Amino acid sequence: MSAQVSPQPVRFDAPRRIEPEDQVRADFYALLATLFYRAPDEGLLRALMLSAEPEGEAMANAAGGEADDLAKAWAALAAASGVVSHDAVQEEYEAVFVGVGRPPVMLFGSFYLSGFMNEKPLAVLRGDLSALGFVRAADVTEPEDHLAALCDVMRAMILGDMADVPAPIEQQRAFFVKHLQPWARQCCAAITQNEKSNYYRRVAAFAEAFFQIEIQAFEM
Amino acid sequence: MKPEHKPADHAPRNRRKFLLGATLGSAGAVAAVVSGGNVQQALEVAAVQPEKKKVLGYHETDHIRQYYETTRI
Repeated sequence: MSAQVSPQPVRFDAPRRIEPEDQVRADFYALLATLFYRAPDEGLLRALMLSAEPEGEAMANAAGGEADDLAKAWAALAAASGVVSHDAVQEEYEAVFVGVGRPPVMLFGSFYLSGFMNEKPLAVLRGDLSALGFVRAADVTEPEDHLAALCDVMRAMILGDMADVPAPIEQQRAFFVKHLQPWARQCCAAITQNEKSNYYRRVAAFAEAFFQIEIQAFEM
Repeated sequence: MKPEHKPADHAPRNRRKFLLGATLGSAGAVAAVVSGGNVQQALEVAAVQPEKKKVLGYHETDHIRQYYETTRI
């Protein structure tokens, strides 16, 4: 019998190897996808409230700038989650992201990139998603360039949902730089500046702090 | 002569160090929220989903799915 092992076979009986820092990123993206897709339910609000780590901020202060920003944004989101009801956040979500007629704040990339919905950037994105092994979900009406969908694509790439192995960092970087980085922070700023935003100001600040870390990490 | 480059394997190490440091103070809390079952995963929230298994001729069974769950931190 040959003892030779072929290089890196795709093995389904082997666990996907996710590095700790990548698991962290996947968790952040999963949470952001959920928060941007719909208003958090009572269970999620409670979990966010309970997650506040008293020592978190102190630890972050010791760690320095980015960690400080992110921990502060997180502490603010956790605190806000303890003082709002699902109904209130639901109302806010609809006022800010749905509206009557035109949504006050758009969560779609093509709006920021081209000024219109469903424009060329969306066509480019569809091509890239298809090449990465994604297909459009049958029962979802939102275009693929929704911030929640793109966060979930990042999560799926990090955890390797498409191929059972994590997408290489180069691939993750290329997708992020092309499809999220050009507009995600602008979108967060639009949320923060909207007069109807309250809870989602905290979500946007948290998202922005995380995206800033992703941008820096992808430059390494 | 080539310009001086950082050894290639330094980048992932720096990146890892930076990411773990930058998420210190929030990563544990986020992980707790996500693993608590209140966050939708597996592209349930997205307009897209992976095409995977078809390509690989592989079907994810409950058993394998369960196993994957145990491998998540």
